[in-house]
Amino acid sequence: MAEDVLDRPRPAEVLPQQEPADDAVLVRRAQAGDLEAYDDLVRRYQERVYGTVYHMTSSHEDAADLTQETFIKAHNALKGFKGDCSFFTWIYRIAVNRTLNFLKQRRNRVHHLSLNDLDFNAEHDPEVLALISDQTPRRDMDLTELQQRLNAAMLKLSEVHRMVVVLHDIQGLPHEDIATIMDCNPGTVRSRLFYARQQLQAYLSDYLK
Amino acid sequence: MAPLDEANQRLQRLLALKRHERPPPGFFERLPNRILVNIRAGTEMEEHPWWSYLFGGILREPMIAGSYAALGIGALLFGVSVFQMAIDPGEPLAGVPLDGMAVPAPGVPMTPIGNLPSGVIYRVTPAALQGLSETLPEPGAPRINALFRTDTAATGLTR
Repeated sequence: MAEDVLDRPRPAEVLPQQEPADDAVLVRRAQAGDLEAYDDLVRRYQERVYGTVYHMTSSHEDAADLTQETFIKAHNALKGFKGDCSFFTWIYRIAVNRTLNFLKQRRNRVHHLSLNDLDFNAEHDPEVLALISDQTPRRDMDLTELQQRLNAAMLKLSEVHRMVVVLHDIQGLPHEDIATIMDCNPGTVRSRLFYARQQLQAYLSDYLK
Repeated sequence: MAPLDEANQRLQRLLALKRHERPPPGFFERLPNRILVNIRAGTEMEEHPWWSYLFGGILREPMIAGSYAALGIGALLFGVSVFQMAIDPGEPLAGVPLDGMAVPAPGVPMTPIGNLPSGVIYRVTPAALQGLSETLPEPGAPRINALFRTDTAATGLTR
């Protein structure tokens, strides 16, 4: 079966317009040693994995290193992946655990923010526009300052509380997926999310009036 | 409940800003290549362990490898000779046997060293020295060993 999959020409070579290959197919090919298949998986999930790590660390350099380590570690452990969950959940779990370990080690060190620039669309996002509308008392404040204050407030949260905010409120994952990724039950995810939002509202009260 | 929802909505708007943070241009084009290069390097290391690189180097540059080997052996021999000089006792001190086998003083009971309480500093009193000199049968007897082998009460050592 594995040989059959290996011998089969890659979809891109036959039909460039064809639908992208399923994760499970790419995983099987990658498990058989096909690096191009793994490259496809990396390209498919790199932005989401990087985004999660970046929002947790508020540092581009740390996020770049951790994302790279996550995919290398996942490749080394790929043979042990049985497909009990989706590849997406599995890679997320590796990234989350690696990030939480990294943050534990970083606790005693002085940390400086290394924030990415806001993209051009930020100023046109209805949500952001609403935020800096006339009703907002701090409309004089520029977006960069707001971004810095928001990241500083996020870093005040504990790692697990920050993680649920990142995965749910920023990445948009459902509670059940977060529970699988963080190895806890959905009720715990909901309670952590509730507490984390309350904390953030308190830290950012000046900007939420 | 309404104010809480409103505050939550504002918080969500604020968090929307984070979704617009982007890494430097071209980052996501370069990252997969960096990952694959590292994976390939790791696979290569597994296929060719360190000793295969070592032998490969020796075969490519036998003269240099030979020089390093001679240097290493010379350093090893030098180290061994220095170590031997350091542990060589040389001439024994006059009157003090260094074989470690103490002869108990006549009339002094033998006490195993293990019975002496550890962590205690002993003070040698003149009486102890006098008692010791009386127990020595003749000059050249194992004074030091007898001191540590005998009972504290018998030698007059006090804490």
